[in-house]
Amino acid sequence: MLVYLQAMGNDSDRTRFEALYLAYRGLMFHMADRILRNEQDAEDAVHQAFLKLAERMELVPESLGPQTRALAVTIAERKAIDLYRAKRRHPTADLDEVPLSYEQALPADGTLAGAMAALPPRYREVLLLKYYNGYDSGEIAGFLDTTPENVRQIITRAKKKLAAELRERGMVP
Amino acid sequence: MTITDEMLYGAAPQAAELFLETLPDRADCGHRFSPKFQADMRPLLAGKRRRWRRVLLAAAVVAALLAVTAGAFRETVFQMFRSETEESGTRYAFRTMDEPGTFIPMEVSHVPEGYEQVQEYLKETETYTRYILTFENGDGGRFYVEQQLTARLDMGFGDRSDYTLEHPEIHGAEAELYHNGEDTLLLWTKGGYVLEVSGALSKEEAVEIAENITWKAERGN
Repeated sequence: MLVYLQAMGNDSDRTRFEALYLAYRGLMFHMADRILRNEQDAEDAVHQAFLKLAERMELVPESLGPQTRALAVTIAERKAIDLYRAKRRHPTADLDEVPLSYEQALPADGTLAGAMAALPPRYREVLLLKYYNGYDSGEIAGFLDTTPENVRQIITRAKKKLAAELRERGMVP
Repeated sequence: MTITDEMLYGAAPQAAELFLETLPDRADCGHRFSPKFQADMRPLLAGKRRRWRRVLLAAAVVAALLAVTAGAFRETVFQMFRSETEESGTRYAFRTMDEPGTFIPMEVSHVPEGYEQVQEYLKETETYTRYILTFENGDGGRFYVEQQLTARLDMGFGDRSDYTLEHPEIHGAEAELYHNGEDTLLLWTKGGYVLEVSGALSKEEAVEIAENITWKAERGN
């Protein structure tokens, strides 16, 4: 298959993109492969993730670090889940609503941070992109191929789910 | 109990750390990416775009393709630009002033003996619709048939200097056919679609697959 050239703004963007590619392609593949369990599909998802990042290099942090790493992995995860759903022909599958079987056990420590990290993918992705990476709803929608309104709805639902989780554990946030 | 933005901003760094801790170290994520992946990524990497822009501006219009107007397809004129450089490989740019119409998925009615469809992929966005069928023969052979509905498309692949380029006619339009005896890539347009057959095929097999692509609406006419 051919690859579609994206409009990165300038040579600086392309240099940063290359650094991103070299640093995180393996990690992104790992994330995609543990969802898709197929190397070819995982490479396709990683390729789609890099196309998305290339489209929005102006929003990618200037330097490599935890925020950039979280962003790259999150986009790869989203592309892998999208591909998984497309291939399974379950366009409305509740993959976003429940924790995935691939996910490793996260600490059930009763803290808000622990509960955030253990959320189902769609909730976790949106919350981390907003409250950790600092993106607004429109920017998050662009990264995740959805609408700003949907992002806001996901945030509302995620907050309710977090409150319920903590209440269940007897924790008062 | 209400979760506020302030609480989430405060907890997010630790949540991100917990999430990232579930992933292995970068050094432990070694994967040998396929040549296809590396070729797909090459056009996106640094140092290529400037030259590509220059080449594209200088490139001749290699074909102005007038698609068929019968059946399910309205008249659409694509301009196709091709450029080749040692640095950036072969690039194509498709441009049309026409708005994309309604997407009708293709059907591949002929495949070489032993092959069967193993995957179907459909991606729809505001600006394009991309549909890919993957076929395998169970013996390591694989090829793809791809259909894209769009008004503007840029694409590229690696160095094809060891390939032979021919221009067979497919669906009434001149196509681009690259082959090297083991691998073939066939690229053409029909109506508002850019189509592609690629993979471990002979050039004759690729052309036969392309000529036998049909659309439901077309077959009904």
